[in-house]
Amino acid sequence: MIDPKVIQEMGMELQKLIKRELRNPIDRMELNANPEEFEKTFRSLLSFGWMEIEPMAEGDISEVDPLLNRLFFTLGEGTLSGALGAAVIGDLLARRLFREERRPIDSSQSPTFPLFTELDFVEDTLRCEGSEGAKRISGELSLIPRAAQADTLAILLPCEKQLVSVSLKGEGISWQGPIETLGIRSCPLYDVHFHKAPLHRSVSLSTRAEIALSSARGWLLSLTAGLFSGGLQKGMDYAQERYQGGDLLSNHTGFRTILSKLQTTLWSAEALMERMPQTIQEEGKGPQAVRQSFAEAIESLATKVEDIIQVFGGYGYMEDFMVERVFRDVTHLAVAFGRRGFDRTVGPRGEK
Amino acid sequence: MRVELRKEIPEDLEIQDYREPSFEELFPSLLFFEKGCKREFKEVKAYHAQVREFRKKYVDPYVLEMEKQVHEDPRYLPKDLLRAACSLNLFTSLIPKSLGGRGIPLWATPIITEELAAGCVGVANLIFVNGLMIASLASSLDLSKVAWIARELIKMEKRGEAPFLATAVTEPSAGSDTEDAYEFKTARVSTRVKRVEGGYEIRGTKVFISNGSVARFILMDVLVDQKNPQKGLRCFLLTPDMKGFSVGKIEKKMGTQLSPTAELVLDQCFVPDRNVVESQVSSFDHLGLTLAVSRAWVGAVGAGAARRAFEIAWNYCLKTPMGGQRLIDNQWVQLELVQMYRNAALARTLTLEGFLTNQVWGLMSVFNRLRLPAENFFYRTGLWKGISQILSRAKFLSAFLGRWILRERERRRANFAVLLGDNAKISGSSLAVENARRALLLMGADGVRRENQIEKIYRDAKLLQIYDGTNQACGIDLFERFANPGGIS
Repeated sequence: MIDPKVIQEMGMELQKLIKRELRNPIDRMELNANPEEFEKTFRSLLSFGWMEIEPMAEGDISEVDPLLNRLFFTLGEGTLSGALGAAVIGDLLARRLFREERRPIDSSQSPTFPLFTELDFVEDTLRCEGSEGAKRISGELSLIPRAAQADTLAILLPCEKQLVSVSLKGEGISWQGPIETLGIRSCPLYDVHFHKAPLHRSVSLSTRAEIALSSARGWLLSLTAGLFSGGLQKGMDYAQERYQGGDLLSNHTGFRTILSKLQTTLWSAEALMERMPQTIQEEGKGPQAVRQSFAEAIESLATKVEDIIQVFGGYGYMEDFMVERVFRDVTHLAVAFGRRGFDRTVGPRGEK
Repeated sequence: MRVELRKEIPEDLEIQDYREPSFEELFPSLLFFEKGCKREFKEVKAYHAQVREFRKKYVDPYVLEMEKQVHEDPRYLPKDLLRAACSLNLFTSLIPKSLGGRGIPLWATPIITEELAAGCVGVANLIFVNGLMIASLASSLDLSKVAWIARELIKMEKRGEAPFLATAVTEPSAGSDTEDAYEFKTARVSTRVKRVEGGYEIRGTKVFISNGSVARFILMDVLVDQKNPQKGLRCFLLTPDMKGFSVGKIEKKMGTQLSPTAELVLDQCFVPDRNVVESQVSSFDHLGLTLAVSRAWVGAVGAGAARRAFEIAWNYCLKTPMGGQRLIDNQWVQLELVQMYRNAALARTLTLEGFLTNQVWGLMSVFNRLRLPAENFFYRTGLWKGISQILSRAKFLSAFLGRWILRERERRRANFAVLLGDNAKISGSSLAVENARRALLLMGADGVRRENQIEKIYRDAKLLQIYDGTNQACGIDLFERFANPGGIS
């Protein structure tokens, strides 16, 4: 079992790293996207030790995920940006999927994952052809983090029941980007086109992949909740400095109500985030329950983040105040892995 | 493994391509005007068609490109669009024909505004924020200043120069509270005014001023006597060439980039007496008459944004495949679209209600008093223009209007118009933000892509909940006006 002290210490170390090395480049890049500088910052963050976390509990995700969730929360809260976190999640998820299927990716490789694709319908835009052992894929996938910088792309093909990887530096691959998007603007996102691209590796999907995806939902929720928390903290500080109608904003009961609702939205998301590692392991409906709660919690954060801007009034709308970035990034992360509306439809069914 | 989708749509239901709603479909409740005021109705309907054509030709195809240009150069203005807007009299559409304007009735404002805002909230703001200044000036009931500004606007527009106007209220430490007569006393204003020979000297900074960097005239509200909410507010007409006036920072905003937002710096800025607005009403009434119009207008912009978000989502769901069928074939998607349709319709209805009330109980009811039974005859013969110009200089008329509006019954009615303006603003802006968010989440990853425009609508619409008083401040204002319909007397 991972000692809670380790979680605390790693969190504190990450906070120091954010202050020392990450905040300034991220703030700068948000205003003027620079994929090379982002890659440099991303790699310096990766060296923090994300890859060493998994072996700590010998693959037992209920041990590892609480630590990862806490770290992603800290990352979002400290950088007030979802960009770095999304890139790290892309990397870790690709590794986790192949590790779960007993075909680990070499640590020297730099993988990524199509975080913003409707996972159940990847094959709407992608088709697999060729015979066993010589399969190739054609089609396209959109908004892939770091596709031009990473070297391996992990793809789930639900119809084929396969987990595959493609070399992003190999034949049959072209990309467009970085694509202009609402949020996580410093993280370069690319549309990747496949023209009979050979599969680098291919394994049959088991339920373990579904569990890995559930973990990633927990990481994303944690990152988003951290971002929300950072924005809310700024809002609370502002409300204690700004006067309205002769009194501090924080003394108006109307504003206290808004802040209270924001706080409880955050607490609900945090509670779900902490519970997720156990829920994933639950017999039968674990991943489905995670999917539903992820949809509800992240959409709730994306709705309520609108009120964080309201606390700041006009200042919240200006780029140099950074709160608008929280607003954009939280909403952007809320569309990860597909549509939340669809997530709800895979939920409860009437049983005879 | 793959999720099998069931087509949740009746077999004989053929979903057709989206068709933009006609005038009658957008505003069915207005059909009564066709009988009541046939001439006005026809005029408005024709103008709506012209504005739609303008939007499709100059706004829709270039909106993303224009936004990008502004991002690279904050001083960029879309010249072709502005020239076309001038030829359509978009800047002066509300100015009465008697003063040389297009004379579109006030009740038609939400119709025209919604149409343009459906193309781009930023463009709507760039062009129609003039209305806020005109409404504020008109609310002072200083008719000579109204006529002066109207003349200048029309001259510029005829030359094809965009006659931008701005209203400067917000200060670095005082925002929404400067727009609430009850909170005047405690607002942390720092702009100071000093009487000097031949005029006034103003010192201070105004922030977040829409079109502040491009305006030809700026109406500046300054609190001169905080202890006296009745007479505490003073309005000055500034021009950018005045000594001591300068444009400070042009803000980098999350959205509505096509309408520049600037800081205005006043370093002992001298304003001559002739540029001081002689308000005939109390500060409370002045603010009320203005906000009733300006806030309902924000609601109309919201209605436009809400409608466009719905349209984009509908078209997207119709064309996008998901698991071998269209997105729109799913019942959960259909219900989501219905919610968005309802939101857009609600925003439109409340906004229209706000403006119709203004027509009969608010600002326009005051000016309607000036209309003569034979106005049409005079107008047709060209006499009315001359008469109205002469009358506008007569101070007794301004004073008469001032006294008339101060009557208790009229003040209560005007107060109700503000209440509905607040309601339209809060609802219209919130429904716009909600629709944009719903559309974005429905479109998933395609929703966050800039090229699909919905993320722009989301960023733009968010401003509507903030400016002209945050929705929370508007809510408090609504409460105060509901609680005390007589206001501060």
